[in-house]
Amino acid sequence: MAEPTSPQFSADSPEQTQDSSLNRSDLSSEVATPAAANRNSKTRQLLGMKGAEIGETSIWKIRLQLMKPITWIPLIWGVVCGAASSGSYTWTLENVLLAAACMLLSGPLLTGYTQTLNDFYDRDLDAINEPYRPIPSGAISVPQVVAQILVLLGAGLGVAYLLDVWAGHEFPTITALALGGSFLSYIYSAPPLKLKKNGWLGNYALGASYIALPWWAGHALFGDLNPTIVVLTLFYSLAGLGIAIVNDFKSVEAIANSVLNLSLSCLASVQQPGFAF
Amino acid sequence: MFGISTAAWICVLMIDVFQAGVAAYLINIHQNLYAVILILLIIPQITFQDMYFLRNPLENDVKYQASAQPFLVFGMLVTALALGHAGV
Repeated sequence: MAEPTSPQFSADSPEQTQDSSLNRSDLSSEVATPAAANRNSKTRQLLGMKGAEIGETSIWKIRLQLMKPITWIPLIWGVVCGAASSGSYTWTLENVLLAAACMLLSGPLLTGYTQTLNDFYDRDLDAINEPYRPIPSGAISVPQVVAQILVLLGAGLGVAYLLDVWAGHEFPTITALALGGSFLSYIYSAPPLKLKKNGWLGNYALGASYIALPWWAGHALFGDLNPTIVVLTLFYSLAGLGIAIVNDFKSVEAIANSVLNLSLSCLASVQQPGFAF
Repeated sequence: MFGISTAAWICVLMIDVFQAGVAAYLINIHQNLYAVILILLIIPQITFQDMYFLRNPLENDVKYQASAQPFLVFGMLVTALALGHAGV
């Protein structure tokens, strides 16, 4: 999505974030002016937001930046909703720990995996549109990125399985959700499907990933995930689809700016936003 | 495909209609108090849609998201609490 200026629904998919970075200094339409952006650029970088300072050398900071921590927040919120809708959540120490582990799963591990994977598959596009990003700029090598993706995915599936064991599930619901969610992330970003190229499908996948998936995980952890909850949250995700499309407006603006600033050959490589206006 | 203005209206209607649909479901399962709170949380979103987003979608998209989304996410929690309360 576009720049995650608000923490919700901001899976930062680079194809939708091209803000004519080649002409960054010429643009007044950037959310923050360069001067204003400098103030918080360190923080913005660590949170995986745009307007970050360029030239970070610590590999761990770059890894964190790839995982876009700012986008974890709505997923963590989704887990809270799921725990609430289960009707069985009580404030015991064990439940708090269970919920925290589920938040770790939804936020840092699987959203981190999703974001890193997305940057990985967009690296060629970013080399043109946002060459300062960690992968195209060479700040982190491709094998290192692949390792990060696999470690995050493995850790996510591992935590999901542990949660199933901890909750005493007969059927490993949370592991199944983690598998399904990480597969959705893969087909969202990776060829040949690249769901995000399709405005409706891609944005619905995004909306459902932010609203329904963590909700299901939280609900399954403390109660029984039933069809009513599944259908209702998928229905709710359609509101999330609307929000995901709002985020596409930023790319339209960026493309409009690109028209002013880029040569035609460059423009040809700027991908359209997912939602066709 | 749609033009900016139509696309903006599609977004806004989806955001409002589906939240309202959830509120209607909550009424249907007799969680009236939660439904009313959810509706009260939709109203400021509509206000921000009118104030910011629909007037200039390209300029105000970010401002709209930042203003309206807290109400949407609290609506999610209200819904979740209602579902838990109803034992769905």
